[in-house]
Amino acid sequence: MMRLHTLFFTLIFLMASQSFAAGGFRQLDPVSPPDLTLKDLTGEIRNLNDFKGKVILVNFWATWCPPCRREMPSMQRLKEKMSRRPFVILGVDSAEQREEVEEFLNLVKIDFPILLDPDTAATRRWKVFALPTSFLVDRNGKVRYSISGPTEWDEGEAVQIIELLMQEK
Amino acid sequence: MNWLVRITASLLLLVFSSALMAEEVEVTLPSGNVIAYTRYPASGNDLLLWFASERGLGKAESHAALELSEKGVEVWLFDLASALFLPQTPSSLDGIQAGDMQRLLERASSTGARLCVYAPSRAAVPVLRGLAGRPDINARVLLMHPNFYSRVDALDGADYLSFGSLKSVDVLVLQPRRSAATPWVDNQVEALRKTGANTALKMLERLREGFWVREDATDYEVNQGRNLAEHMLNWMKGTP
Repeated sequence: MMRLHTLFFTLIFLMASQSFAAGGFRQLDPVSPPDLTLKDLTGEIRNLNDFKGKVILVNFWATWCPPCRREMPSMQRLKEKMSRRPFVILGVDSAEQREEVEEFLNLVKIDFPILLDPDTAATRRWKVFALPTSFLVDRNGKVRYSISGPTEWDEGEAVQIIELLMQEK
Repeated sequence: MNWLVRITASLLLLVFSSALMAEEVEVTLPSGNVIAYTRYPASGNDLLLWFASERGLGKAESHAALELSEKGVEVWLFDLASALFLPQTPSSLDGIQAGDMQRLLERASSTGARLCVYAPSRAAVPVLRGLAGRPDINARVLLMHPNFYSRVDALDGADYLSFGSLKSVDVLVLQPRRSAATPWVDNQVEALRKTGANTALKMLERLREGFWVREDATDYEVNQGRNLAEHMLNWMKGTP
């Protein structure tokens, strides 16, 4: 009976992990991220190592990209939902100048850090071929998931995956 | 007031006579498929084969074809995905046989006109496959934000499809600046050069992919979309 129980829960777990992949998230073999050292909108230099021990959502986007703009509010809601948790969002604006980003932020209120990648060096290091593309980095600093295309960040599988990553030691 | 009526009538006549001149042409391909395309005849010595992207044809493209024919460039307008009842996905166009494309290119080449081929997005794949290894077909090729990846994985990299030799082909890659493909366009150009194609790049500033059909087009994109025929003439000639 116990074995049947174990088998049942194993199957449920496998189906759940497959459903993460089916929804657009790609599970990766844990891998060290490429360098991400960029200035934010205030001119301060930010690095992934600044957020060690936290789950990090790295989101590559641009103001001219409608799907990127659409998912931004759900990222802000996620940030608020996770405000006391070991979680941080870093937006990386690809190939634009600070003024263009600031103009967009006058319309859409977000308060997580936006890093600027005007020469696309980071975009190329992270091998981003579509916008938006997002990565989830675990608390040990390894990239665990990627998703190309928009998602609703404050619900469903996005929250489930982030919760799982936060629970890991 | 009389003059206004006359001018309006003349303009209407001009527009409708040109539109009436456009004709549907059917071709039987080596695969057995029969496809139809729209031919916009013209009196000049230039022939443009215009292939729609995997998303099909937009009104701006038909308008531009008509305008070009009025300016002396004959246009054959193809929507391969629709003609072959294929789903509007990039991989659909990958299945079009090189022999079928060669039949279309040979037909165009046999007119003796100066040949130019325009292909946006994934339409680059059948066009380049058709031209590969055919040095007898002399064509200038305009690739609008071409997509000929064979594999793309974030964090890992991308591979490009191989086409064989394109030594006799002049390619101009037209890349809208506001595109996720822009950081990678040099790699695409390099991949084309490796086939032997004489490849140049033109960056289209302040524009996004498919700017001529976008529902969310900016005013600037709308204007550029309206001037597609004028742009095409410049790209065909290789002028900025």
